[in-house]
Amino acid sequence: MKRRKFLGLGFTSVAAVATLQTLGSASILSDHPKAYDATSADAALQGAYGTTNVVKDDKAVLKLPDIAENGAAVPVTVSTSLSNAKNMTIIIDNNPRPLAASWELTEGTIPKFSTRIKMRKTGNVRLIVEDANGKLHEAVKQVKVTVGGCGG
Amino acid sequence: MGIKAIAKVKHDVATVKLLVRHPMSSGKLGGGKGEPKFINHLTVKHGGRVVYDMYPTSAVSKNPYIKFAFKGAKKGDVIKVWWQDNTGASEKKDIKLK
Repeated sequence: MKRRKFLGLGFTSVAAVATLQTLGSASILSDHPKAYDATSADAALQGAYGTTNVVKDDKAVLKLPDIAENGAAVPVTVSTSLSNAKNMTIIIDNNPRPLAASWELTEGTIPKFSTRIKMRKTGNVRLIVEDANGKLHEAVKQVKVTVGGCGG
Repeated sequence: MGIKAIAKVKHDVATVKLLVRHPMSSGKLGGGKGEPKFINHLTVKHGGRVVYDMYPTSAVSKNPYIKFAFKGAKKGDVIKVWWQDNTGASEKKDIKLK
């Protein structure tokens, strides 16, 4: 429901600031901008998906080092074995703003993405994958951070 | 600003690596000082369809590195990279697949 409502608004008020590229696109983060401001992992999850109800299974796959020497750039690869997943979101439990990044999955795109993230200190990183039925799958991995990297 | 890219096609699959020059500053959001400045939307289009749709926050590292792959590409095709940050700045670049 919220998504539809947002789309409607998108063509009126938001259109003024949105570019042609973002206009009409819907995503977890554009629909739920409050998730950005969440200061706890559960609040970020609640903000983005409206629930904290997740299933830990092997549908969400999170690749991270066991130990990150530099918290300012921790390599991460996220993927899912689901062929029809809707989106993926990274949440970093111990960051001041846990919500780290989100992807909307599109047809033709192979749902496996790599990037680098900042981690303030040792803690859990979670990957949330929303499947076609709206069910949330989670993978959790603890990363030990030697030098934190959130000052930047 | 600036976007560096390596984009190669093998069989039907294009593998794209991007390096985007951007401070990705969390500022006071991360316990530091100043206003945050970070990319909050980055897309890659291939022939009008979106093949990569990312919503980063300031927790993505400075000068973001991004790697992904998509199907249905051939050598010589052009992909369009675009990003926008929370201050409204944006950048576009066309990249030819090799």
